[in-house]
Amino acid sequence: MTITFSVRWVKYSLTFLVLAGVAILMLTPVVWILVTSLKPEAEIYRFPPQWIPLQFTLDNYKAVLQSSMPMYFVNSIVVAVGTIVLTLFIAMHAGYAVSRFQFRGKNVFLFLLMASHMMPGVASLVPTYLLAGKLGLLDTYAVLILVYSMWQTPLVVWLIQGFLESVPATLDQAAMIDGYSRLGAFYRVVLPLSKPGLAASAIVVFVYAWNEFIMALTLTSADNMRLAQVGLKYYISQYGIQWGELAAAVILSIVPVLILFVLLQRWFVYGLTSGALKG
Amino acid sequence: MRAARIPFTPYLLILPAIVLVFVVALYPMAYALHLSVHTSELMTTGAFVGLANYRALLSDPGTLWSFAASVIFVAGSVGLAILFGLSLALLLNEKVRFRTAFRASILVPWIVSQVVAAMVWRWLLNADYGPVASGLLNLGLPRLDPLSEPRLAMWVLILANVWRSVAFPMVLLLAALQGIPENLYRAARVDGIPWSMTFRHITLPMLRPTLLVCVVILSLSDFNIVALPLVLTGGGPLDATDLASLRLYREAFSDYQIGTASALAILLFLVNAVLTAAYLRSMRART
Amino acid sequence: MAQIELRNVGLRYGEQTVLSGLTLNVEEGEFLTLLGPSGCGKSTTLNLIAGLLEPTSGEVLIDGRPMAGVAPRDRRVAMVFQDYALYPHMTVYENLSFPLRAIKLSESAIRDKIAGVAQALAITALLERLPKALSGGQRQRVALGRALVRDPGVFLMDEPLSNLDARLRVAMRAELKRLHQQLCTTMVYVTHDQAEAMTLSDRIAVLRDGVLQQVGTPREIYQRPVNQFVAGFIGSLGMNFLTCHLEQDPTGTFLRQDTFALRVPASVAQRLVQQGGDFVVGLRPEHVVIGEGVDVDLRANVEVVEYLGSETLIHLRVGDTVLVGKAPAETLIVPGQHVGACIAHASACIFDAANGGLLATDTDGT
Ligand SMILES: Nc1ncnc2c1ncn2[C@@H]1O[C@H](COP(=O)(O)OP(=O)(O)OP(=O)(O)O)[C@@H](O)[C@H]1O
Ligand SMILES: [Mg+2]
Repeated sequence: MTITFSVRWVKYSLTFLVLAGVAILMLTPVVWILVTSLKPEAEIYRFPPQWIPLQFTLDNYKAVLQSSMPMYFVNSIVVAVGTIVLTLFIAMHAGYAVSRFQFRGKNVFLFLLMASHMMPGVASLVPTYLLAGKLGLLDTYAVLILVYSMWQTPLVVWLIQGFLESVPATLDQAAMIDGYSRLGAFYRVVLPLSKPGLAASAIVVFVYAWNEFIMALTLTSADNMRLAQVGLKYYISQYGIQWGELAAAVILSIVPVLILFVLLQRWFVYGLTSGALKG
Repeated sequence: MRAARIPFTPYLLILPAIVLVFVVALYPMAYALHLSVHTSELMTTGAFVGLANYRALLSDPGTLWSFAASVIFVAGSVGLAILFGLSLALLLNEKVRFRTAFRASILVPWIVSQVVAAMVWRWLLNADYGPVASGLLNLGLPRLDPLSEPRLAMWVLILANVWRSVAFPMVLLLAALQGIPENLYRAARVDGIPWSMTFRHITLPMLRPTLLVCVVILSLSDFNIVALPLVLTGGGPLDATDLASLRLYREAFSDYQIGTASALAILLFLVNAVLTAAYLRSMRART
Repeated sequence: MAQIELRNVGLRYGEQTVLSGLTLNVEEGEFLTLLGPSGCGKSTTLNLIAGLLEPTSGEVLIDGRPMAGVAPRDRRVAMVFQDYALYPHMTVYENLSFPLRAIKLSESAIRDKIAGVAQALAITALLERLPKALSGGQRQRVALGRALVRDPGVFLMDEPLSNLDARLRVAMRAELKRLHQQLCTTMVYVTHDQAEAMTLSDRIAVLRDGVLQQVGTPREIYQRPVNQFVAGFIGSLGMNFLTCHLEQDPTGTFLRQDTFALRVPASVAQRLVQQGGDFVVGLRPEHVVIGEGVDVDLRANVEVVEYLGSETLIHLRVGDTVLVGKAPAETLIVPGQHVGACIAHASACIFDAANGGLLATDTDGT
């Protein structure tokens, strides 16, 4: 009796300790940046480094807020919101078609979606850049929103489709008999019941658009069109590496996603993994 | 017989998606194919040159190395991510105190962008002021700048990548673990089967389809990675971390070799197509 | 009020034929029931009338107007779904007002209308609740209310009572009947419960595998089922079927199996002899009266006794079939006993054993 108890206890403690250790290790890099962002310049370049600053300061944050970073953040938000709106609009209609209709070419359509989602972002970098240049779309929100929406639409179609399918088809039928058109039924009955799906999709799209770097880097060059991630990259080259300010900028750039994550963890995980699980 | 009416509604509904996907995804790919068989002069397309760009690429040892580097990077990243992801999933599947908090902190690196991941690791490993360097000194080891060591740089890149991507297989595998019927384990326990055998003969086979999906998805995303290596190592030192994806970016936007860059894009596309086919097959196996 | 006409309607999903050659009229103000086993195409027929499905052949007319291409909302039909299809995110009031908002009725008119319907269905107290906070019976009333507020030309009801418990179902059945008598609106009602069909309908249409078997009043269908399928489906216990062969002797013509024998009137006998082959005699349990008496037609062993309270069912062994008959509730018959049974010859049906079609009912001598 005591032996089984202690074996179980050892196993439990080991599990606990390993998990705690890993959790701390995973957070360490971010914590280190956070600590740095709160240190005054002199302390940042001290060796050996301190994990707990001798003196806290918000100077780095002030400096970042006076730089162009806030403008980049606004740009990122504009592009992210635009992408969410466009992607959700396109994907919810396509998802509705897929979930409610049998039509010729449906499987081909789904295959194309899947294939285009799997297409390498880098491979289309060059042609996208050249085409955008020809169309005069470089340095516009529109091109980023279009390209991001394209990358996210397939994923969101699958995501939303799952939610749409959980709404019984008799509800649309009832609405159509109650005097509404097909689309009216969709907007008034099916969509309100799929809100969690829309929310999960919006989160996925937001995180993607907020974190995306390489398309933003190539498709914009004007300073006033820069997105947050590109701004971070340029922070290095523009000012030499000001690690304190850079750290503050990095922390600020993580905050929006982190808030979403803390508030909506469940939908977060659901949204970001479900694309992999749908076939 | 009256002609059957064509139900146009579904086509109307998928039209925007089709337009977007064709215009923004498929057309550029076709355009890339076109570019890859022409010369390029400073962003303008020149004469048709057939497969010359491909020949130039494949006879350049730099390109060949970059594909090798990609393979090393993908194999290392995916292997470690799966190994750690599976271990963490197994641990998190136990009923441990603070389990949700542990899970959440492991998820944090996953929601951070590649640029941020790169910066965070650069600063952590900074040879002059970083805590890793100081820790090594404390252990009596020499001061080390891993990002300037060709052999270590690749490992740093892999490590940083595993750090940001391990949560993905972990979450999927955890869900799969929780989907294994408890009765299978009860039966095994009643029969007195040791844990290692239960793991090999029950857990692993049940996880196989999910593992497959994880491997393919991670491979796809790692193979196309640009931001992380670009910001963390820039392909250096001495081209040690010059992944094919990164090379493509630099070929096009540092060297302005649009023709060869497009040829490289097509080659990458082919690798992706193979991986995608594998993905579709593994999905079919799941259902 | 409206009149519905289905002309040779067929529906296929790819290779699978769900309905074929369905021709059916529903008169103005009529209560018509579609009856059949699960999967026979009842809901499909209803959906075709509502416009939720388009037929792959034939046509649907309402008040003489062809309905091809007419959207459900333009057909003046109201429908009660099997799962009620209440909108889960709307309160009862919002559910009831939903169809009225579609026709842009003024807010006050909506309120009046809903107040009236809610009162009639005794759901006034529930108006602010969400559907998930309602019992099955209450949901059913709300679904009914949502159909009623619209003053439709046709009511379509898809097994509206099937999710209720037995007692409530009987109560709602009576209420539906009262409602129909009050409104006199054309009603197409779907059920697989023959008792509902019998009690509610002006006429019943029996479907099997997408093919219409018979249309008629409950009485016609009960007494003169066109084939064995209909005969077996109608009636709470179904019909006894005995495969018999024809025997002629000086005293007359008989259909016989083992100890069972049914005397056939001369007019019928002649036709049966011409036709030849085997026949199936159909007898409803109430036409097999168990008990001793002067005119016992049959003696057989009792296999099972089922006490129902109001009466007792007796299963008799006759050759290789079981014949179910009825005895008074207080009967003392026990399994194994050898008993006599009296058969109501006049009510027997004679079917063709080859295709199950009705050849004659004994009474009319056709
Ligand atoms: N979308 C569809 N695709 C293929 N077959 C279908 C489809 N919808 C219905 N069916 C088939 O059509 C037949 C008739 O279906 P229907 O719903 O009309 O049956 P029902 O008589 O209402 O049955 P129940 O009493 O179970 O509701 C069934 O065999 C069903 O499998
Ligand atoms: Mg049905």
